[in-house]
Amino acid sequence: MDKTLVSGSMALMILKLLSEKDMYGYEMIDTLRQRSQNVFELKAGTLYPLLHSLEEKQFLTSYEQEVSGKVRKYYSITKAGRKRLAEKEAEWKQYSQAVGNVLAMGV
Amino acid sequence: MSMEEFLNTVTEQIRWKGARGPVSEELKAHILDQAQSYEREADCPGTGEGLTESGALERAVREMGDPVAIGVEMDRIHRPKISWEILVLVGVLSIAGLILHGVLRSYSPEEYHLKRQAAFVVIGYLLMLGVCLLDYNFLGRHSRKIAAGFLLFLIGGTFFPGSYGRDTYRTFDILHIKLNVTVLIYLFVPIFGALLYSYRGQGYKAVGKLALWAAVPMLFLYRLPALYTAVTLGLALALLFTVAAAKDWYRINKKLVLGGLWTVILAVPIAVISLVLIRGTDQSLLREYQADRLLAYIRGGEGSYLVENVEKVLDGCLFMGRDSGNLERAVNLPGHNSDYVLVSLMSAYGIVAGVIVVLLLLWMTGKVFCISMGQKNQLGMIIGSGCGIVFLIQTLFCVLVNLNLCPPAQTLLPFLCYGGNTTIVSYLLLGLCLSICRYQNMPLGRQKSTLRWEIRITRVPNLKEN
Repeated sequence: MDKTLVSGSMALMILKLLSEKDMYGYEMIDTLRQRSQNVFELKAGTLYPLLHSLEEKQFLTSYEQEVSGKVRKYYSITKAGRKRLAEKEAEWKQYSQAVGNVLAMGV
Repeated sequence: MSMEEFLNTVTEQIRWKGARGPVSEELKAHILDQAQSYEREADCPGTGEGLTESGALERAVREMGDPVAIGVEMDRIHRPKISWEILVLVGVLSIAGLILHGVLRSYSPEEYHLKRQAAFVVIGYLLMLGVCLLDYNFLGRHSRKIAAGFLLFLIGGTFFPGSYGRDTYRTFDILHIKLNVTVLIYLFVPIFGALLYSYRGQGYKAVGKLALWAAVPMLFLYRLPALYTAVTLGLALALLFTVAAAKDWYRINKKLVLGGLWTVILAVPIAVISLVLIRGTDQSLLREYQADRLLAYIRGGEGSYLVENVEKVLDGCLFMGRDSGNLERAVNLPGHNSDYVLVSLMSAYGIVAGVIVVLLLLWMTGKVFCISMGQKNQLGMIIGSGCGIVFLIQTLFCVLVNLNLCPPAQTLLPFLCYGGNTTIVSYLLLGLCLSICRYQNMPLGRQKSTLRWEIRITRVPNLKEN
């Protein structure tokens, strides 16, 4: 799969995952891999700068919590993040519909 | 590449030292999780890749990606943030204040130490920058010790008044520096913010302890006597507690506690004014001169000479520019460069200048609140809010007293008043706000979740009997 398509929509997928529940970085990569049936093998080196950038823009907030003896940094979506997610989702639907329409013309 | 080498390479790219630790900890946790997962895969026959512990760790590090690219990206995100607007505004206000005092000195019959005031402004500005560089989290870690030490220092200091005598008990000397208790006490507000933070999750016990912490400086000020400072400080502490309680920090019945608190705050002045109106100076709540001042303000007439003189100066203020005769009257007001600095400003440069200065101060206060409320670090949020509340209360009360909408009292306008203590305190408070702004991009490292478990025991019907 073309990598630019994946990276452009990465923020959308991260926001979507966190809209369901708070997660830590490794959990996000694992969930994304399972749900996409191994299509999205997100590198940690891409994920963490993206998470920190979303947090800086106040779309996410973070806190630390001890789980099974390990202190994990959980990310949580904010109100502004949910608003951003709704906008991104609408943009994505419009885009995918347009691509679908163009591809359907050739059939 | 080993895990340590990888993490070192990442953190070497991050110029802000404060951000290095938390970023490194987060990436390390990820690598260890990933390595554990590879080891688990190896344990499962058929799916395993035959990785040893060190092999799994090595692969997990490899999977992380380019450490330099990660570090560079993290460096771009985590930079200390400077609020240039506030720094420039305060610089402008400070210079405007010095120019104003220069003009007032040429009209004032009193001795004016303009060079000393300029030195206070420079020292204050440098102190503000120094505090801005400090990590304010130390306030949260040692809040009770700092609060106790601060109150002991101020209260204890009044027993050693130095060369200024015990006539007012408001000042004392340290190394020939005159310290004014009624001004320095405003530094207690951000410290109280740190106390509010440290008592989170302790229920009604916390409310009781916080009430005691607030009562000590207020009773001390009431006994001094410095009634106006006691009222403004009490108001600031109550507002700050309201912010903390509204955030559900104490798991209390918010409506009950906050409703009760604000009912008392509204009822006390009404009760005091009623008592003074009924019994005059023959009551034990206010001192004779305080009751006289209050009665003079309410009834007018003899005794309200200050109010009348302020009224005359206000009437003589031009819309823009100066009437020299009116300015001469203004500089003869007691406290013309401190309590009535706004009246002096308006008589020196016109009403528009006064309005602009007040609007600039309110804008700065709004900016302080915006920075504070946008903090993910709750300690920063509450300390910054405390500083903002002090600026707001000082500005509003100064406007009310200067426009004769309030009985005469000791007020101060941040960054414009004459005097070392007021100047330094304003800069210190703003320095704290700038420190909070500076550290807002610092990733959380040591802060733990505030989630608490609650076990509830309830009676259930005996299922066997059914």
